[in-house]
Amino acid sequence: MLKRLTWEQVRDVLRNLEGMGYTVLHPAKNEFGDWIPRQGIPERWPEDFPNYLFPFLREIVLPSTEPVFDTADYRPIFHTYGKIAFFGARPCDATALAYTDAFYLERLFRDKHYEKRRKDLFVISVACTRPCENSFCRTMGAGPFAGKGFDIQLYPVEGLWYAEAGSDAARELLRDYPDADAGRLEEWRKKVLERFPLYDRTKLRYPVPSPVRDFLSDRCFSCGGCIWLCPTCTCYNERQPAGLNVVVREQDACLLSGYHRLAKGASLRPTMKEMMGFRYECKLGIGFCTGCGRCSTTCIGYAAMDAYLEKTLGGE
Amino acid sequence: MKLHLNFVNVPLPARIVSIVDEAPDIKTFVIRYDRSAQVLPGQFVMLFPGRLWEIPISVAWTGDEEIALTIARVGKVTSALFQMNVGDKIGVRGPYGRPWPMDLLRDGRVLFVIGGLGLAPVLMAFEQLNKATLVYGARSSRFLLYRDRYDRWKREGKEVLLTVDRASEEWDGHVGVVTTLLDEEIVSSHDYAVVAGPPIMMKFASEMLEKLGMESDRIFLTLENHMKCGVGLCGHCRVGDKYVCVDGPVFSLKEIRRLEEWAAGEVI
Repeated sequence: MLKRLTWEQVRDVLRNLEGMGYTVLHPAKNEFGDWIPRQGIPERWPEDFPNYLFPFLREIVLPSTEPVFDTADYRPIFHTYGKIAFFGARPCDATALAYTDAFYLERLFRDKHYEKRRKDLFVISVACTRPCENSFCRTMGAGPFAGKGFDIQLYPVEGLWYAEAGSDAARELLRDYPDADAGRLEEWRKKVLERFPLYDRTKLRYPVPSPVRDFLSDRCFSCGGCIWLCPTCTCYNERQPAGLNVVVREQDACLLSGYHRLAKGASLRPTMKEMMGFRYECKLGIGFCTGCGRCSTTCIGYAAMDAYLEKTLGGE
Repeated sequence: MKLHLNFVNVPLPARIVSIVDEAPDIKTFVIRYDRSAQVLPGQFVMLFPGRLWEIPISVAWTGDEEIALTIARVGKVTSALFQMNVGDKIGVRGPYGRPWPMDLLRDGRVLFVIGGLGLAPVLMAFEQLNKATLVYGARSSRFLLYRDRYDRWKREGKEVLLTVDRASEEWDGHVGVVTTLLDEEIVSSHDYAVVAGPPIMMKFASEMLEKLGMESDRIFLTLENHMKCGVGLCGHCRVGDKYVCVDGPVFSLKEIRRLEEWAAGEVI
């Protein structure tokens, strides 16, 4: 389903969602100039919004830290944010959400903590018109338009908003708006695509050539920043924090030695090279990278995807 | 149709009903657990000693609403377990993991090549099979587990070959690592092999079995890996593109070779 809306009609859709009990979040700048999700219906779409540095969609479905059960009576604890309509998600993050959905909901075990929050989340992604710094989303098939992971995807076409429905709830919300011309959208998409770099995806795969892996692991400070900001990094650890009668699960990072630590201080992957190999096995081998570029933006050591691309593709 | 199981990462309360000393720093905890009938040979449970965090432990044997877990004191959680007493509440989740391929193993003669604590994850399988040989090695005779069962196994017609790395004065059996008991004759008289024990022992034993003529899809191993969730979500036990907790812990040597090829970029 493809519909054509004015900006005011987009705001009507958001108002309808509010009426259905959703808290609407939209991108806004705080006093420090950082983009954060703010509650309410936006007056206008912020044209200069690239993406959030922090992967808020991941944080909503999988909080960095959450209590899971009480150690006294083994009672499950469900942490929830209520119903959220996330307006302005970028396509790379919607795609990342589709990856984590498949991982947490469509394999042998379905995670109830994730599922409860995911059911309460309504994602309205807005297609990108310019590449972000460090991004290579087109190469990874996650941008500038998402193919999955959204309820509604909006395209800012010639002063109007073309709306693509990705769920039954969205089809219901958009039902009464006029249909849009799919051909015109296709032309617009072609024009936008040309602005996005496209690398040879077949070269970006596991195993990372040893000289590249060695370069990256020599430069990595093991701060974990790339992992805290990666929209598809969802590995977690479970433990009881000292002095609390709960077990929490908290995000874990495979570039930190503690991730691989076994009983009595032994380690499965004692060297940085092995840890780096493990990370790239996941991101490129299994294919969890969306090319959003956050890891490169935050890396202080030139050891993230930008360095990997430069070293692997050279002058391309 | 793909089966999805709802997973809430919360253990169920259970009780310790007895604790058996097996060897120095190795005990078997028998736990009253009402899901014991669901446990298949080779599966594991996640165990929570009331504090710290959960650890994966193979089920050695099951009884009427009981599971037995043989545990060595190694790290923080197992040390906490060793301070627990009969009657204490303990958290259990599971059973999880791919079990031994019992339908396949029942069809043939099975050679169990086991080192040390590796006897725990194969005990149920070994006891359920009629045509089985146990080749079992431990550090010393004090570390041979479940000694009270050996005579029964022999009476049932199973061959039990024991070895120790270091002989004490009272030991008059074979001395040497477990692979020294393997030869072409014993391998050729079996259809399948089951290997469990320390990683280095499994590596050498499976390589030797293959060299002596056993095909790699007939050799089964249990990989015991670092796990936090046991259900394929936390990411810690990933090897290549497989998660040991849900795709294993039991793998054939052929599957492990494929993982090695995947990691080397030879499989897409």
